[in-house]
Amino acid sequence: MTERTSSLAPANSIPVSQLLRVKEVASLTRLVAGATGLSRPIAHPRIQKSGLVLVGHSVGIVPSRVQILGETEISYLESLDAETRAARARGLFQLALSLVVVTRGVAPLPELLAAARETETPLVISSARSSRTISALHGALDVLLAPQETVHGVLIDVHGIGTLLCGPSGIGKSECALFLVERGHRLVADDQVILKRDPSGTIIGEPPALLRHHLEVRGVGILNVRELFGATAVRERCEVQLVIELRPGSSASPDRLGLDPQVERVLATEIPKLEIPVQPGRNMAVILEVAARNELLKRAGFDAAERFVARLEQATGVAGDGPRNDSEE
Amino acid sequence: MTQVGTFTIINELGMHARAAAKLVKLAGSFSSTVQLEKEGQVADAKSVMGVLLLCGAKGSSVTVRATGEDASEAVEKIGALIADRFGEPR
Repeated sequence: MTERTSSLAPANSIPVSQLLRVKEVASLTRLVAGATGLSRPIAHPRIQKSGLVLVGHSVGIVPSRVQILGETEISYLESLDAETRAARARGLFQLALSLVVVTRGVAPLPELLAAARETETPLVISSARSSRTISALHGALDVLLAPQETVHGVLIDVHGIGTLLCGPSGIGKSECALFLVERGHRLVADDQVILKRDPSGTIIGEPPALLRHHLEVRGVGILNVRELFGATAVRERCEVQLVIELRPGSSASPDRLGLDPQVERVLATEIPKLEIPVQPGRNMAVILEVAARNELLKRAGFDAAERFVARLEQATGVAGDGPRNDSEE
Repeated sequence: MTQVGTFTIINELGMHARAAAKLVKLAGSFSSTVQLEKEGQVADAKSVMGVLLLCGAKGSSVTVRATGEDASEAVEKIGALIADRFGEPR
């Protein structure tokens, strides 16, 4: 088993205020009512268009999704007489919505403002048209609501392969990172790595802000890698493409051929994984570098172990067109 | 065997760098795995960076969870260190 400790729960909800602070959203929007409701939760990365509520059909409205009122919805409201308009606006806002966004800078109808105030629902005006507002909101929500976890390990970019080193305390993860930095690779995070899953399933790793650029090496102390080695020795974040579990030499039964690829599930994404025994006399930096190179080759379609087996089959006269990995049959 | 204990940080400076280093050194002397938890955030007690990241200020409550042969001793000794203000006067 791996020694990965999960510490941050997946961000399954954020307060409205956090969304409105995101630069791309803040530049488009201004809050016009309902400031007292800014702590309400947003729990879905996709917005909802609430037009049908205005004609009285409120089925399927999820209060914790951002509700959008575009030009069409507003023009419909404007077509109603004042009394009906107030009733329909109240009907919408009574659903305990977390956030309502009116797009294209239309001045909010007084009835909407009144209903927002009454229900303490944040009401925001966006200066952009619906499509642009929605894409800004989706972009921000994808980042804010991405599933995430924090693991104990070291993340380093080796030849462009984001390599996550795991293993028990004291196995030498930080020392490996230092050797790799010395060889020109780039440290992303030491000790604590925040992993986030983006909508495409890619896992992005970054350090907690407090620890960024720092590395702790036993006997030397806390080092600032950026100051010691320069800006090229660090990276702010990178995709995790390879997981390497370092194991004490005695407890490991390593893969000797590389024919049975292992994977580690990280936030529901499968990432290739290797278990590498740590023993005196093994130059870990070189081994890790070669592991990253080999991963690059595999990604380019060249699997050395499989090619070797094909050669072996040819040499021994065994038909080489069967499935390659059930050599036990 | 797993042992759990919850302790309150009482020294003036909280779990600052030196205090964290002391705790990590102590945790490292046990064969058990030791974790610290503060407000849902978990850190390996044998890792300086992890413990520092908890930012345990004065008054915060920290849970020590140890698993292994010397788990109860680990929880007891770490609890004593915290109660002893990490050996600091205040």
